[in-house]
Amino acid sequence: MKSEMLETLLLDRALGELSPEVAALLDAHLAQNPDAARRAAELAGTLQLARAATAAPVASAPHPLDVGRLRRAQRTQRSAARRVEIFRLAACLALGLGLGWLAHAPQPRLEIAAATPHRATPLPAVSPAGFWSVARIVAEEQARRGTNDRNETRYALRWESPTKQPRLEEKP
Amino acid sequence: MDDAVLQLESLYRDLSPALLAYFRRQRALAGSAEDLLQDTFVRAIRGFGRLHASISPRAYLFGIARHVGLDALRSLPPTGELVSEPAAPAAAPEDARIESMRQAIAALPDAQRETLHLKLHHELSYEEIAEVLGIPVGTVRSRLHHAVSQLRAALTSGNSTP
Repeated sequence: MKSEMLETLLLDRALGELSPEVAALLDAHLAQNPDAARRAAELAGTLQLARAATAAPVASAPHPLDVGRLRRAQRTQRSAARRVEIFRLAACLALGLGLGWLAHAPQPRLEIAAATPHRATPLPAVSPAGFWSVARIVAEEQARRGTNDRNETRYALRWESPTKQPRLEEKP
Repeated sequence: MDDAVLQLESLYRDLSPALLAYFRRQRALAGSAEDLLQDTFVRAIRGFGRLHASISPRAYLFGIARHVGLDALRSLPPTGELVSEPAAPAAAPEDARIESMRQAIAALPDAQRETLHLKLHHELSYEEIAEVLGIPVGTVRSRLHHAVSQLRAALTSGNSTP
């Protein structure tokens, strides 16, 4: 048997923590091993000395149990437990009511658009000739200037940048 | 009469001397040991449902007593030694070995000393001590082994010293 395991078993035996079967086996081992038996005796002596060294002073008999205080504490505990239970039930009820109201509440309708019809901004009239056609730009320019010269053959488009609107120039 | 109160009365008859000794063993609490004993049972009835989940009523009550004692120690002004060995009976003849053992026990770490006391003086099992202290059984075992090893070493060195 290993020394560490023997030490563990000897201490468990000295402290009364071994089952009767294991204790019997250990006793048989100790009967055949004087060294182990000597260590067991040393251990028992150490524990006996420890008990003696820390012996408690002789204690007087305790007072009788204060049953009235015990009952008061029990009543307080019960009423506190009942309050907690009521609070839990109330919280569950409030939660249920809240969820029920949310589930059955009337949904807001999207009637605003119908009540105030949106007026779309009219798009500028586009000439059938196309957005970049000379005719449309001439018409727009004439409208801006307040003249009515719609002879588009007199004009030409001048592109200065692909990102800017072309300028209208009169042909020489 | 209420079942819980009846059960606690029965436990009080069986365990109050041991619990009283547990409080009196701590010098700082010795004066209020009776009050602490009553407090222990008041707390026990507040958490009475846990009694049946406990390994044993003894472990349950010692666990509560430990917390009651710790709370009482915390409320004391921090002067002097809070936990110490009780004085030996005056009439007992002083043995040098007992005195050196007392010193060796006092030199143990608090956790080991507390575990040793619960085992040696209150005869709690490893499982009960584990529940009282809120630690695994293996830790109880190792604390006891270390404590006893240190005591043996202290005694051996004391004997070898001329």
